Amino acid sequence: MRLIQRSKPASVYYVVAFLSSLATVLAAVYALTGGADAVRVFTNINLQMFLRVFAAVCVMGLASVFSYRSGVWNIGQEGQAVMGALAAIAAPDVITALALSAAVATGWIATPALLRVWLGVNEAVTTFLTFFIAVYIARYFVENPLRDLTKKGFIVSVEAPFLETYAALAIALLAAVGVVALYRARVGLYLRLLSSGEEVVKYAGKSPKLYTALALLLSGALAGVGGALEIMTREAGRYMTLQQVNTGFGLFGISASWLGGLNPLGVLAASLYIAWLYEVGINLKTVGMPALVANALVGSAMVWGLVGYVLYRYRVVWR
Amino acid sequence: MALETIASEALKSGVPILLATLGAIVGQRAGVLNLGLEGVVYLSAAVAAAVGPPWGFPVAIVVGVVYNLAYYTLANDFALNQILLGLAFTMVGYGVGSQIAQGKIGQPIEKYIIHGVEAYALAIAIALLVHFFFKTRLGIAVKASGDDPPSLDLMGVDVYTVRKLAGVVEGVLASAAGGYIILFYYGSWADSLPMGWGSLAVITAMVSLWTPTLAVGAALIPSTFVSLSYTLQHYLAISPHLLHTIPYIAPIIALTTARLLAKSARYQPPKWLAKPYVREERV
Repeated sequence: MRLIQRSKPASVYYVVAFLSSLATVLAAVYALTGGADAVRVFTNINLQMFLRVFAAVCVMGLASVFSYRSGVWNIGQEGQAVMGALAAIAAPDVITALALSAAVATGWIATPALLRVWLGVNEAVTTFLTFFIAVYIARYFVENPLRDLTKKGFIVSVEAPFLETYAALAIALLAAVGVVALYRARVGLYLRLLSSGEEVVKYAGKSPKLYTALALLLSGALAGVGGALEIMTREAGRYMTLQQVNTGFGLFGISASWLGGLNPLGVLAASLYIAWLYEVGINLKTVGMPALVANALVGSAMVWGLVGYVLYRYRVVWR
Repeated sequence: MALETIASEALKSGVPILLATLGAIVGQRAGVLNLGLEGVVYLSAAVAAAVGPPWGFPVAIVVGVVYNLAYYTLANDFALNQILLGLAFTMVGYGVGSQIAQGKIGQPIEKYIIHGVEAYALAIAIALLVHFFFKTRLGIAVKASGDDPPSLDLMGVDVYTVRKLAGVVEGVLASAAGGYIILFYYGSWADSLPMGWGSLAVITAMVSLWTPTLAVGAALIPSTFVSLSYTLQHYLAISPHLLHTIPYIAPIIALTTARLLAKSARYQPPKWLAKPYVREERV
């Protein structure tokens, strides 16, 4: 088997990848539930929850697009989301929460971004490690400065301000439009050029270092907002516990970005699918399947997204 | 007394980090940035816990190698993005691993008694083996596949085969680390015990500038801080959660220092690190 570069990329393979992912999920769920509960698992959807998950996944997916579209590898969205959610918990109202979460998450990714730009330290590894650090820092905040002392016997943080789901949806759509507009503007052009190689940006007369840093910082900021949206739109339990500081939405966002072909509008579509997968995962839990099955389903969706990208660029020749 | 405990603990916990680091060095020298190493270590640790001694260790290695080889095939032959595929392999490793070892939670596993110094001496011997491996014909091919795969291909060496062989070496070392963590170090299983080791190894490989002999020292950085963070809990009134961040912060600082100090061309990252090699594609 070998891969031959296409003369023209074929977007249709993202559809193929999506259908393959869907087939994988259907097969896996049928196999796990024995078919009896399968229909209920697929169709039992809480619209309110579906929409709020969609909004958060969408923003996280756009965060991933900022990174991967520029050929830099932020894989610490989960950690940035934790920091964003932490900022939301600390904030008194929704507006402050959103601004603070973006600021804190930008600060959180600044170290990997600056190390990458100045010293060429691989950003994939540092963003991955900062996720572990974020988890411990969040636990510290849950246990000490942000602990809700009125809840005796439980170690939980104070509650984040409440955000209506439709407001979160508006923010997600606004973010998508913003990314589209940015990619049409000159700054966005250089951001996209970066994936063709740093030299290309350099010969276009711009500093590749500046745009690399910008791509990572934008990615981190959006991931932070995504984390804040997730925790603020919950119907109840808008707090963190020691065991549950991260929610896995970073992985959801990465999957949405690849299934969406690293295109902001594609991400909107893919986020619908990922949000549905989240519902399927919850339904699986109610029929007694472990929670990790949901993550495995989303993980398989991500791998299909990666396959879609390879088929979009290459022809597979068997010989 | 405290100092001695820290040193002995650091050597004991340094062994799996050194083993996995050596694996990561071989893989990264071949041009593959395998973040799925975390999953390989986790899965092999889970297998070792589930099977238990005496067969746990060899079975863990077999499973780990197969898992790592699956990653290498998808990442190289199928050119799937190395970094994100690694993330997926980590997630699947966590999921499957915690599932198969579920029955062992809270049960003691018969542990082999080892001494820090001797175990680490053995690991150093393996580091020397890897050092000399890079002098062999295959070792040079591995390095070439990370620095200039098109030329290696032109020389008539199949890059994909070389990378998969590197993947086997990496898999053996990483899953030996996973098996060690359960059967020699902890002697028990909990979901979170084998977490983080593989990721630390990936960064330690970079700290040691992709050189096996330097890895002997670099592997002790995270392990020293891990044992330090546990020991300090008894002496300092700092939140243990904050102390737990130190083993992750220290390697990042070490990596920064290493990049600042290592200017010579010998210590630069493999040029094709994390880039897929597709034959005949223009670069």
